[in-house]
Amino acid sequence: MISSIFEYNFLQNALMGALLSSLACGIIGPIIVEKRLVMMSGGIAHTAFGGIGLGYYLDVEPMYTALGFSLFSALSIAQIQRRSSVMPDVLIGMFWPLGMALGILFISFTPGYPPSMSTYLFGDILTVSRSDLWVMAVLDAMLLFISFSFFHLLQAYLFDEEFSNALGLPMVLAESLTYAMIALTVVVLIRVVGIILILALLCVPPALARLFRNDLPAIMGLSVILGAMLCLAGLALSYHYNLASGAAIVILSVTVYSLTQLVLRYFRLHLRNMHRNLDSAANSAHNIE
Amino acid sequence: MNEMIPAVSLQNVSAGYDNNPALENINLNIAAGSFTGIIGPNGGGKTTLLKVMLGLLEPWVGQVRILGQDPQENRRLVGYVPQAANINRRFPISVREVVSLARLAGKLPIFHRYSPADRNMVNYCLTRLDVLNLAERQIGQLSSGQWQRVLIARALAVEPVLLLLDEPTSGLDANASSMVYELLQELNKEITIVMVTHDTLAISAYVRDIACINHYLHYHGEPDISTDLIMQLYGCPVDLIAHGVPHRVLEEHGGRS
Repeated sequence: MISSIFEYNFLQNALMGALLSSLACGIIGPIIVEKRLVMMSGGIAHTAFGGIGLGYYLDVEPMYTALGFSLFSALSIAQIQRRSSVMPDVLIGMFWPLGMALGILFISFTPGYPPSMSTYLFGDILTVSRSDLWVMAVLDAMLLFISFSFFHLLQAYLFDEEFSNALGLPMVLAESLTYAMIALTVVVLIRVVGIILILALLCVPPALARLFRNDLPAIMGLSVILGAMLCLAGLALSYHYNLASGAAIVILSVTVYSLTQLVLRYFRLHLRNMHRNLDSAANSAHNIE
Repeated sequence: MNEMIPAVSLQNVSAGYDNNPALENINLNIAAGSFTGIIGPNGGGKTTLLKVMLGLLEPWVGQVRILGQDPQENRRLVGYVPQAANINRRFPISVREVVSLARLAGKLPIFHRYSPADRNMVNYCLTRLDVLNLAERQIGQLSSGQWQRVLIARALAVEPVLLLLDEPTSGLDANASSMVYELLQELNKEITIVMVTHDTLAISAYVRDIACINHYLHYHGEPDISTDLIMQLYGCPVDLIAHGVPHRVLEEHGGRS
């Protein structure tokens, strides 16, 4: 595979795509996990499908319309949540299928033979184009910029909203930034893992990182690295065994997480037993004396 | 010089959520330097009162002043200690970072970095609350008593003129509780303290004034009040005795004098 990377353009693109998407999910993943916005992000991801349908209908690049659509819906959802008493769960349960339904409608209105949606639904890292990469790179840059420049504000928002409100910090701004960042991330990840599989890439790297570190910047950094490793390994699997790339990455991620948990648990048990054995050995040695 | 201006002044304040009033026509002046306990039944509006003083909740009518100023305009007036249980202790953040965030008060933090003055104040507050040695710990690794002290340190890092505490000893054992109260008593030499509490021990031993809130302000003054008033406040004196809420201790306290 290594030599093919130099030969084939599509492999170089896939590699870049994997790295760019792990950057996005490494930054935003820990944020949504700590703020318990995982399902919310799933919902925002699915509204992007409406944007993709709209892109086909208007005959423009679906990535752009998906970006507009998911940004608009993310910010409106944040607004509705602030202004009304609808339970977040119920709200998610409505806009999630609403986005999908709009996408289906737009596609059925599109003249000619209906396009295949599976690239966007399940992702296909091996067909990522140069222009896709540019979009992803620009969005990544925006994510980096927002998270660096507003780090303390975001930290205040994520940790204790009420106290931060009392400090007079602009929590509406912080919330809007967070939701906008989720929308940007969704668009970065669409081509790699697809709308339906996005959640795994958002959850697994931060959940893994959390097992080893407990400060937010370190969790973000580690998530980027772990995300990159998972995406690249998934890409290699998908290339070698001719598997769907999104599916390969997701199955690999969840498997790695489960195995890590099992290994950690085994080690903890083992360590405890070792201590116990040492103690009893020391005791019996003492008794013999 | 500021002796004449009350630390907290509420005039004809009514407030609530949606269409449900929680506080009605509250007139309350809390003198600068006092240590005031707010008591009242659950759902009686105690937390709402704190939120109004904090500027988190705009009153429907009436005026709120903290040392003569509008709490929504000057965010550095009030230090807030929320109920410890309301905060996610699993959040990946260190004690030092938690206290540092208080230094953002009233700012719009873009490309924000803490100044040396901020860092000094954070260290001072951590030392004052005797948690400096825990500064780099993740907050989940603290005991309840330590966590409570971190929350007080965070409120002090705002450099407030008034400290508002919402049940600062719930979930603490007797030892940790009295440690917190003694600390508050010490802080009270410099700063006005208002504390929502259910703790009868605190009311008899540490608090110098009490305010009884149940939608209306029923009483404000020294902590030896009549059974009649408690009855009016809580509605059901039998329940009160059974559960041992303020009135029993208060009466003993009154009876002795």
